[in-house]
Amino acid sequence: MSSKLAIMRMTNVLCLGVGLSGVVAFPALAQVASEPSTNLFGSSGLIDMPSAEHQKPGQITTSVAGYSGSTRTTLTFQITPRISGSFRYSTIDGYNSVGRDTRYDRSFDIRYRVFDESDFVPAVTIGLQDFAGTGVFSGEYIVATKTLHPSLKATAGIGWGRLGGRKGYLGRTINIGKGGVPDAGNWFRGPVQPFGGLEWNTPIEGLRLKAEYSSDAYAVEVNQGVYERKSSANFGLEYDYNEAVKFGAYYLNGNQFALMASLSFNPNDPPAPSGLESAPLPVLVRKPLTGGATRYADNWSADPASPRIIRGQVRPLLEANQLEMEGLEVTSTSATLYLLNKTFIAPAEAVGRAARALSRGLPGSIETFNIVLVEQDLPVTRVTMQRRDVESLSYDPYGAEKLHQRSTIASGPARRPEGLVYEDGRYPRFKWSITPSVRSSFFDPDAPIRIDLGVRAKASYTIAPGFTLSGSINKPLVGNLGNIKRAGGANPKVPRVRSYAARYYSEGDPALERLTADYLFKLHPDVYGRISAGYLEFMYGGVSSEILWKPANSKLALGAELNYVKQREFEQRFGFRDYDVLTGHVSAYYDMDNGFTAQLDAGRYLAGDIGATFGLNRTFNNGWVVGAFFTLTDIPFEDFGEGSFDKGITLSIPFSWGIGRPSRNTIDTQIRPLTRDGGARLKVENRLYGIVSKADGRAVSETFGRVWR
Amino acid sequence: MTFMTVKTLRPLVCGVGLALVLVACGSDKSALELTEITKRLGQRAMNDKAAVAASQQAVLQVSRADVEAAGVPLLRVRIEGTGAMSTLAEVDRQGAYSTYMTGDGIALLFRGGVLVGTRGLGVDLMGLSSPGLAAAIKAGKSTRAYRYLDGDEQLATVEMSCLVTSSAHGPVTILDRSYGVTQVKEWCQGEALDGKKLAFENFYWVESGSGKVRQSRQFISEKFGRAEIEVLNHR
Repeated sequence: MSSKLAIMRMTNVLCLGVGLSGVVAFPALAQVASEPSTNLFGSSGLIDMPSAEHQKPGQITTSVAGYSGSTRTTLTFQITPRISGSFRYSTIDGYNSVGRDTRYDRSFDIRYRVFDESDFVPAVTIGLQDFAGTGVFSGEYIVATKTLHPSLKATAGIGWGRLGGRKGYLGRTINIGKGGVPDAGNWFRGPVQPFGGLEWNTPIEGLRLKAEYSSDAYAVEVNQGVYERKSSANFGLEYDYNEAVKFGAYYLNGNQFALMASLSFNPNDPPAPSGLESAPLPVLVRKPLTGGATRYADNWSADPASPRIIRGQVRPLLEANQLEMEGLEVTSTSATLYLLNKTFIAPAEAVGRAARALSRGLPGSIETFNIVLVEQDLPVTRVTMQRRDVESLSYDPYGAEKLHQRSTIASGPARRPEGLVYEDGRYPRFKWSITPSVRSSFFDPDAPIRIDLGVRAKASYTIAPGFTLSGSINKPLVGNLGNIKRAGGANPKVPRVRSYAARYYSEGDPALERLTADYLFKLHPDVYGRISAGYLEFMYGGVSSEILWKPANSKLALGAELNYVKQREFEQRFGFRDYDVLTGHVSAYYDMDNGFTAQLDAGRYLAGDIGATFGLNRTFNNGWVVGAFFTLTDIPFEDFGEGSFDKGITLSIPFSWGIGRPSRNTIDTQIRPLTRDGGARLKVENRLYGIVSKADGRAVSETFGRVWR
Repeated sequence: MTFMTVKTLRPLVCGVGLALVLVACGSDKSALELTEITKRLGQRAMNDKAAVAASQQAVLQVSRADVEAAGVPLLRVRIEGTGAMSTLAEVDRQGAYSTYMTGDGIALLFRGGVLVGTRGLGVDLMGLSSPGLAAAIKAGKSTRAYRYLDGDEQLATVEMSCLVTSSAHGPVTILDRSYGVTQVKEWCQGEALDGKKLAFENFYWVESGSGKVRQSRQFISEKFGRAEIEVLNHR
């Protein structure tokens, strides 16, 4: 009774103060240092004209500009210090295109900074605008920008295409209805015009004035009577609400007003870089050996009850860190913990917390900690550390580096040891959830955003390690995904493997999205395998198999996938349509040291077309992924339809980045301007590289700075 | 604290987005996480301002008798950058090193009386390489390497050069107890991670005789400024 009171009193004293950080405002977006301003095309620039400036590496800028009933929505990513790229979705009101009142246009830009600004030399950038779209905005430029005074910048350049347009004459053809192919034959050809302007940061903080001489003649718009251009002079007034949120108002071409808002952020600048998760209990250092003993007592190991007792000690220590174990094997001198990390994006943080838990829960004679990271029941990586290093390095200012150096990071075992006792409720285990569902499609040719809201029920039953039955049913409630108009089928040579999307969305009510048996396994410490069978995704069912070679610390991984699938009925119950295909790929993944990962998949796609997909991802250790991909197959561009070939952008945003709380969940988006039937892949779940690469040796090493977090 | 959470969350539940996510249920924790996160964000937004005031009030009410009754070494800490206050209890001691923690899991790490780390603040000091206080006083100067995690999970180091002076000072009073002290001032200059100039002053009030740091003001990070630390235990 009295000890309980003491604990209560103690708790009172400690709970009186809320967390010391609890109160600091973490304005998620105000951390970014002010970067060069953007133009109406969403890239660094003046008003309609580009400048030579670049944002800082990793910067993501989204902007919406409106003028004369038209809009431009742009996502710009500073890929490397010198290279930036943009994806733009534009609407042009009244622009006559294939019988619609409004032109919906998708375009890509790429820019390269040739020279950096120095005392006497301006920054110089060469850029391609709308280089692979329909060409409505296509233009090329070489531009120079120089800071004349801390508050005044001057820009001058020359432009081709749209930026070299003379009145009523664009100088090149536009490929509405096709597009999508880099039109190199047009680049830097045709009429040339100069442009330029000034940007003045006024003494009023955040207020900026701009004036430019524009070389964009709006030739096609003027010809179609949807734009009036009286002058080449543009004027702008911009206000930075903070470093992330900016607004602008403009007077264009002597008779148009325009407005712009932009939001920028940088994956390298999280609001709370080290995270707000609680500190773990510190390492418990063993009492020094006394009485001339050279080893800690290990007589506990003779007692068959000991492993169970030890597991009982370690379990709550892990749970306090939001970690779990699959099992724990102990000998008199070593312990192997099969660790389940559902919480921390950085695998090293999970490892560090597990090591501290082990230091508190294991008998003194255990000198070696093996921590095996188990992902989706696969023992991916084993980190081996000596207990004395864990004990001596937790306060060391360079403790993370030293512990990394003294630890061994290797592939996890192919097989767990015979006698391993799994935690209760691990195998078999049953999970279910009913959650709201959001399905979306961005930037299709007729509407910028389509969304379906509904309810999704999921359940999974894991019978043995890696062997799981799972299913998902979705009931759409409201939305407009069923209105997607896809022109697929116009060419009888290309089977309609994806272009029935609208029918699937509208007729699958409720839809059995997925019902599969999956088996994930290891053949060798470095070799992973997967077999999936059943209703693999909402449009296809069948059998899928995969193998992946990925040594723990290797930059290179190789994989192969082979699937036999049949197209499902639109209502997504158990029936199939009359189309089946053998599809598969061989894949190579290469993790460069600079944060970029390249992926090449070559093989046969759903429509039976043969080709390859090229992907490049910028992967941040904090969980962000920004990537782009394109697929070329033997379907000729003219048969593919608008867009000419499949391409898109992927974006993965970790929850933890924004809120500071640990979480492995991410928001994943794929922006594919046009989904068509060529170059389409099966959307099977549990592809191995995605599972393994999040916890492999490289991921552990790259996040090792968090081991003592 | 729990009742405050419930109370402040209630007005938020009417929001449509929240209402939608709150209906989620099941045994699969990762599928339900969005619900949990939305709740936490709501709590943060509602709690923050009131929490500062409440934390200060509550901490200032801790009495000498409470400290004696707790039976473990306690600190009282105020973060300059936010004004938040808390009482921390010692949870680990290894020779000169020690860790103190708040009730909700924010930890401060010390070597002697020198703050060498924080955990759970958001912009944590992951480690500090510095000479001991006595050596720094003797040399009259010190080099201190502050280590932080950057946005890409890499450890980055901010090096500071400091001048260390000690001078006489009137007694400091902590919870009705008065200590005769010497004031040690550490004036540090260097370059922050973004390349901008950084300068700050650390103060240590060292008890005459025992050499214990009774009170101090020590730099954590640019975001949080300094921690004002008082050692509440007499012994």
